[in-house]
Amino acid sequence: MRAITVLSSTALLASVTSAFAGAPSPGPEIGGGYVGLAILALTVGAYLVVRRLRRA
Amino acid sequence: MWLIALGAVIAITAEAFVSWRAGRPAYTLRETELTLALAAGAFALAYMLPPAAQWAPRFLHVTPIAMPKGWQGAALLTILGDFTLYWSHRASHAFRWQWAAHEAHHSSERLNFLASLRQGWTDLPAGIWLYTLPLAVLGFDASQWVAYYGINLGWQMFVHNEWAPRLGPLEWILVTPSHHRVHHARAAGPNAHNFANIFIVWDRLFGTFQAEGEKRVAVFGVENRTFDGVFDAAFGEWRKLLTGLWQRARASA
Repeated sequence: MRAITVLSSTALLASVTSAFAGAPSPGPEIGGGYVGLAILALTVGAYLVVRRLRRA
Repeated sequence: MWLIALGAVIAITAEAFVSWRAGRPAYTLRETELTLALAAGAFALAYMLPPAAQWAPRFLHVTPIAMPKGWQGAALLTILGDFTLYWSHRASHAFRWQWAAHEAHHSSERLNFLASLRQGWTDLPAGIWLYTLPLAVLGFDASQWVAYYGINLGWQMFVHNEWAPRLGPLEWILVTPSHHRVHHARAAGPNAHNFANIFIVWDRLFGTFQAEGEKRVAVFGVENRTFDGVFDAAFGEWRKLLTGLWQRARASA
């Protein structure tokens, strides 16, 4: 459990810090554009994999 | 945004792998499948309907208020945004048509990082966004909105887990996994507590705070409700609500 805490907290801290430090440009960065599309594709892909695993 | 997404993927993978190795898996295929299906639908809607961060700058010219620039403004937006989210979240449990949209999030019987992405599809017609609308006219710039969303999403993901211990003095100020387990407890029903997203002070101020007991909350979900697939989770409460209204209208006619 300690390993989970360290790994996940580090990852989340890094991502939250990047939100401040990076100050991404507005517009297509949020809710649209390639990033949004990639996140959507990743989620759909993961869903299809899990569904296949579950029904196997 | 790339880094936020990457951080989330790493955190979820780490939680799944380490908990599986420890013999207490935080993820089941059934729950994960439903979470991913709901998340995919919610992301698709978010992709098509740009959130406040994109249209907030359009209101800049109508506000007479000068908001602080840079990180100070982002910090202020984080506090004000959390205040509005406290009330929208509390309303989502108090009003049935808003619960109809929010129920999907509570459908998970396991609390893990991924469950934070289990979101309903009907926030827009339920009007949950209305509570945040006043912030749009205050004049925060788009990069401050991005920072706020990053902090909010990151913290929301962190507090969705069954394994984190109490966090000492932080429990007085911040919403912690312990607080959020109480919020998601199946036994809580409509009398849920701990509605804040980041700052637990709102619950302490407005009388909705409840601490976790000595024994950790371990049973999650919605009382007397099972979810038969993604469409039932997303629309099931709407169907019951509208059917009930229709039956009452017919009975009184």
